[in-house]
Amino acid sequence: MNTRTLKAKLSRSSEGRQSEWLFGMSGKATFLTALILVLLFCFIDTAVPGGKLIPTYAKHIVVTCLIYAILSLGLDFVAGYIGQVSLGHAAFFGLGAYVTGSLSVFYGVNFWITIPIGMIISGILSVPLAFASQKVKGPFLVVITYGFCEILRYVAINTSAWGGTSGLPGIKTPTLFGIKLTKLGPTNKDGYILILFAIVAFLAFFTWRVVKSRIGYAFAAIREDEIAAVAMGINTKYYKLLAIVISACICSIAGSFQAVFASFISPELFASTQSISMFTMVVVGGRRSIIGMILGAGLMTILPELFRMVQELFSLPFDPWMILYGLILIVMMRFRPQGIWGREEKKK
Amino acid sequence: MLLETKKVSKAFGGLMANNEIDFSIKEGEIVAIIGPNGSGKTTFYNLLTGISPATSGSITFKGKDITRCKPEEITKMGISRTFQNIRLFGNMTVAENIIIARHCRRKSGLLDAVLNTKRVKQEEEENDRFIRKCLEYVGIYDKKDWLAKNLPYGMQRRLEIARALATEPSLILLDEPAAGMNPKEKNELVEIIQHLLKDNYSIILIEHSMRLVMNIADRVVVFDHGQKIAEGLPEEVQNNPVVIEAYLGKGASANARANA
Repeated sequence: MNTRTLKAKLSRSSEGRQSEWLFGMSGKATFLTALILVLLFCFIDTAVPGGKLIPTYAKHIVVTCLIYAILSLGLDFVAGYIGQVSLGHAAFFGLGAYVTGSLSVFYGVNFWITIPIGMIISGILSVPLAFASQKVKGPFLVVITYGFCEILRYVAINTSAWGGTSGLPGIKTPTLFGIKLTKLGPTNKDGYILILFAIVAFLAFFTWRVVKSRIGYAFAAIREDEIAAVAMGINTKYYKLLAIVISACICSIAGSFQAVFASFISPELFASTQSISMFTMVVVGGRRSIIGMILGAGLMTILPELFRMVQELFSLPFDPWMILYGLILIVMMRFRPQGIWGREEKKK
Repeated sequence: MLLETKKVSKAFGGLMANNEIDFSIKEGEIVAIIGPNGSGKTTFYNLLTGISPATSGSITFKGKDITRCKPEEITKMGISRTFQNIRLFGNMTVAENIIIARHCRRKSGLLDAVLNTKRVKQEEEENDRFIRKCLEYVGIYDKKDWLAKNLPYGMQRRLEIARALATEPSLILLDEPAAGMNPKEKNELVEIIQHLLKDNYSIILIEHSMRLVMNIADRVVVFDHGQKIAEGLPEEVQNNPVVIEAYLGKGASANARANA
């Protein structure tokens, strides 16, 4: 067999379907494994008498990971499935947080009701962005999304009711069936971990179902060749709008949780560094891979913390992560541009 | 008449890419459009499929005015096309290309997708049926799991036809389907087109390969500089001095007249 037929055979199958879930497990098995791990992580200290196995700090990081996992899954609808670059998705993260924050501080609205309100407001505000994406793409859309996020940041800074640059503190902890989320486990983080895990699992399921549906194929057609997509009878305007609105709504959920988890909102939520780190997670994790999104969010949150420990351990005068971060990104893009769990995309 | 255009024009600024074109095609007919490069043939396709709307004039399809219709509505009504410069969804499999083309005949929305309703299952079964049917039609069913971009050139052209078929059209617009094909591949293409005609599809064909056009076209329409300059049976058009002039220049047409 010559090399050409061999190559053809290798690349014959679709974009590496087998790597969709962890280690060849089915979706259900992946979910159950993750569920067991999360429950162990949360409650092992209750089970073991006097246990202090897992520090509260580690749980804090896991909550952050899960919030970022939601953001990555949301951003993936734009950055992965319709193949556009957005550096303004912190806008929807911030919107969710500000809606939840201000509704609960000023009007005492129940946290669980503020989530859908935040989603609706983010969805509506993403429509102008979607209209922009009808006309422009690539680097031009990057500038537009960035500008969009900056507008919201300046609005947040200049609104005195929201405390300007210093932000708005004192957002109440939500309750679930009358129990405060912070009282659900041995530490005050376990409630958040469980709820956020449930949301991430649902979003993973949602994304998986959508991607293999008629809508997912319409997204794929738009990503691959927009003119051919139009000729195949796909309303490209509608599906781009849909992808951006879904994406905005999902990011808003993460924002709502960030607001109550930190019990504080500030214009920093709209910072462009937020948008960039979200986008980095998506690219590092592997665009269009559900597991990749969760891994990307996890790695990019846990690694800096690990390196901070390394710094303390060896009492280094600098944070090694600051140097390695850039290096990892460069090496990654050179040798594995499709991301950790991304699908093989051979350039031919 | 299946499709009829009346004085359809398309202006790009001051340039008339299509100038008052009257065109019609009956059911089951195959009409070829020929003309030098840049004479407005592909622009005419873009008008028919709604990708770029006509500046003036009217287009009727199955008795309905479609001049102002959106491309997705026109596809749904039954006009489908292939592209001159192959536009497959390269990073997707051959079968997935067909699934995308089924989009306009499916109805499932976001809720159906998440709940995996009965409708989704029905549609997926139908997709499988169409993958088999359309790919067997053009003879590439055994390649259904290949990435479209890895197919040999001739098969990519055939997949374009299969993809157009999957939208369940009654009128197929082929844009230079034989471009870059060797004689053997051209013969296979002719077989596919004849099979389509037998199944009562109507076809408009843009093609530069005269042998192919003269072989299978019922009628030939000639474009030059955005205008329709001639129309008729293949042999009539072949000997028309206006056509020869458009292709080869004034001297050639004078020679042809002298020879006649």
